[in-house]
Amino acid sequence: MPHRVLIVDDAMFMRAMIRDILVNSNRYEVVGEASNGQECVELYGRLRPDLVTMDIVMPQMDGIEATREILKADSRARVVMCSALGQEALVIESIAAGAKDFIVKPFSAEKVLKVLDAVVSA
Amino acid sequence: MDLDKYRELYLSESREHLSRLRGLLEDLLKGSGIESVHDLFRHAHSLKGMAASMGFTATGDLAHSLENLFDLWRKGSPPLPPQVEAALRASDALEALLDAVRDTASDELAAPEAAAAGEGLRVTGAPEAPGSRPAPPATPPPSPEPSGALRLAVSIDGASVLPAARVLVVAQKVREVFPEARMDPDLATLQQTNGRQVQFHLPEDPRVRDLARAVESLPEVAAVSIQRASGGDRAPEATIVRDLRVPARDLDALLNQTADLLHGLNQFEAGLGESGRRAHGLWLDAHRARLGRLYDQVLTIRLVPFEPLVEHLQRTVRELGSRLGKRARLEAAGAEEKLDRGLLERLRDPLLHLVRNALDHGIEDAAGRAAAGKPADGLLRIEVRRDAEALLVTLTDDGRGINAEEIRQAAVERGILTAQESSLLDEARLFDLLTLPAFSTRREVTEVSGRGVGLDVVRAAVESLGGHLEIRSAPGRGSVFTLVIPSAVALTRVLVFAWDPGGARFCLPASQVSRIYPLSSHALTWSGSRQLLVDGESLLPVLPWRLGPVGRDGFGLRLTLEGADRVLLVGSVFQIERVVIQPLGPPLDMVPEWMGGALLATGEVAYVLDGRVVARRSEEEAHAL
Repeated sequence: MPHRVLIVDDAMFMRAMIRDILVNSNRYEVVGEASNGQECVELYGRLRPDLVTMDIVMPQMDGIEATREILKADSRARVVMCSALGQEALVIESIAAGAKDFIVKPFSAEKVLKVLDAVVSA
Repeated sequence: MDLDKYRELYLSESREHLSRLRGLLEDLLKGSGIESVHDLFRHAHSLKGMAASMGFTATGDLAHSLENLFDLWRKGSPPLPPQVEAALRASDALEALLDAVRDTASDELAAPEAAAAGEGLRVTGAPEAPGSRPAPPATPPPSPEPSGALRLAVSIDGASVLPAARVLVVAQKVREVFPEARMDPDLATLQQTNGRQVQFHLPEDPRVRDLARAVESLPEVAAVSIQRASGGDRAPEATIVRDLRVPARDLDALLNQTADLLHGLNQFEAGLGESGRRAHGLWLDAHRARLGRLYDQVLTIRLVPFEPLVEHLQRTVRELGSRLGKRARLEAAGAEEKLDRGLLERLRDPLLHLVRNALDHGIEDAAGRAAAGKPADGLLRIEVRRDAEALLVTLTDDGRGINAEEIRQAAVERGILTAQESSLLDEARLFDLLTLPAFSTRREVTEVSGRGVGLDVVRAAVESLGGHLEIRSAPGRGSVFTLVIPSAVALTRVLVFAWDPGGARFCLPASQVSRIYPLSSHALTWSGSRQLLVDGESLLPVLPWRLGPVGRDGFGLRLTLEGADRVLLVGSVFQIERVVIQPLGPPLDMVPEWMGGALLATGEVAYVLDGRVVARRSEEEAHAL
């Protein structure tokens, strides 16, 4: 039974990249995509995914705030932050806010899957 | 103990630290970012430690005085110009001390100069007596009170680019079981020092073992061990040898031997026969996994990723940009390429220099950019790429470019060439002139890039690595500086695949593959005599080239090449590996489609395909029909 994932990133090609990695893995299923924190919180409520991949820097509502909102609604939510290089402080803030793990761009399929596998099996 | 055999190592390491220390002090004089004081402290500390372990007291004392001064600075005291000057004079004295060791095996000859420099430091406000400073954050401070009988020591993978964040994830896991567990060093220290080692103080408890196993399986965790807390009397200077400098050759040998072990295991398994394999399958798999991890670990020791240097350059762009009042950002491609540690260190200064040049001379100010119709943010791009023989590091900017004519005129004005000679030079040669020492087309000296354009320094650095510098430019549009470094030990990421599932493996440089389409979910179609792959709304041309039949369970590899994208059909796709590509011997080296051979982790050799050549050849053949 593949795990259901919500992908959140304001860049379309980033979402496509993550989607491709997940689809090729045969154990994750993309059930939705959001391009900002606001959309993400709405979709999370509707879709109740098993996992969320969350870009940190986004317009309207950023990833850290969105993570907090999601966790308020569902304390067992699993959020994995997607960060670019040089954003260590933001990643640390995200984890302190309740994100379970993180991956750093540029992605490689093996790294992404390793982190997601660890999070769903925790 | 005979310390003589370490002298060469001591001298070369000390000189490196000293040179970086000097560079940072000079930056401070020009007002660079305050974060350099942490690096300054670390360099002084290393110099002190090394001198102490060799018994060079004059050197150790002077380094200690510098360390004290830098400690003041990093605790918030602003670096005053007379202090920085005194520190620079102290660094000159340190150089004299090193020369004395080189010539006489002792630093005593330069001791008077060192004492004077030390006095100079104290006069400007550096703290008095050496030996009054606590241990630096680079080594974990000894715990004041025992808090737990056990220590869970965790090492983060060297390839992790955000190690402190990774430690935090580990800490969350530890605190699920032991909420009160203390972490040593703390997160702030780890962030500052880019540390990768951490210890958790845990009580004697049967759950510690399971926790250790769970932590070990987390991503980016390299090693976990459980230790008993000692009495806490570890002397602060006990870890003198924190980093080892190992000849690259020795690590290569280690790598080859590990690959041989893997290969031997595969051969052994092949010779076992069906029943043997069934009976021992579990052990064989476990053993292979262990050897695989050993191989990966040796690889990791040997090579470092480019990423941290890119980060450093990005910081430089931000700081410098704001100081110059110019907006710019640095993008990177290929930063995951791994290269030899020593090589990376030696690329740092040339690249920093090129970046500073680009910001100072290349990128226009806001008015200039608006007038040229360019976006407000200047764009710098660094690309790391590897082809069959060399590592190519390219810095591109979209600034005002280099004006060949201005160079020609300036060369004539300075008497470097006569007007007639200069008229014979083409653009490329004129750009090369820029790399002559103290050649500058800017009238005023800028404090940022120093006197002249400084490309002579960059060129010298690249040539000392056996490479060369290429400069291309389009006036008004920008410039491209390429460092071409022939390297036998850069690792390339390749995608491993095959046409025949049980058969030979092949590779493509991962940088050439932008997507993988499973043919079970992406259809193929024909348009006339061309085969195409359906990707949503677009149709991608499929290369007619392959070494085996490909069915519905195969894959399309999307090759992103100059020009248009093409799809290569293959039977199975395995994984992405980091390998060393070695040139093939004759006559295979005459076949351009094959870039080289790569030793895979399993021990087999896979041919590395050059997607660009395959695509180009296929186009040529198609047009010829």
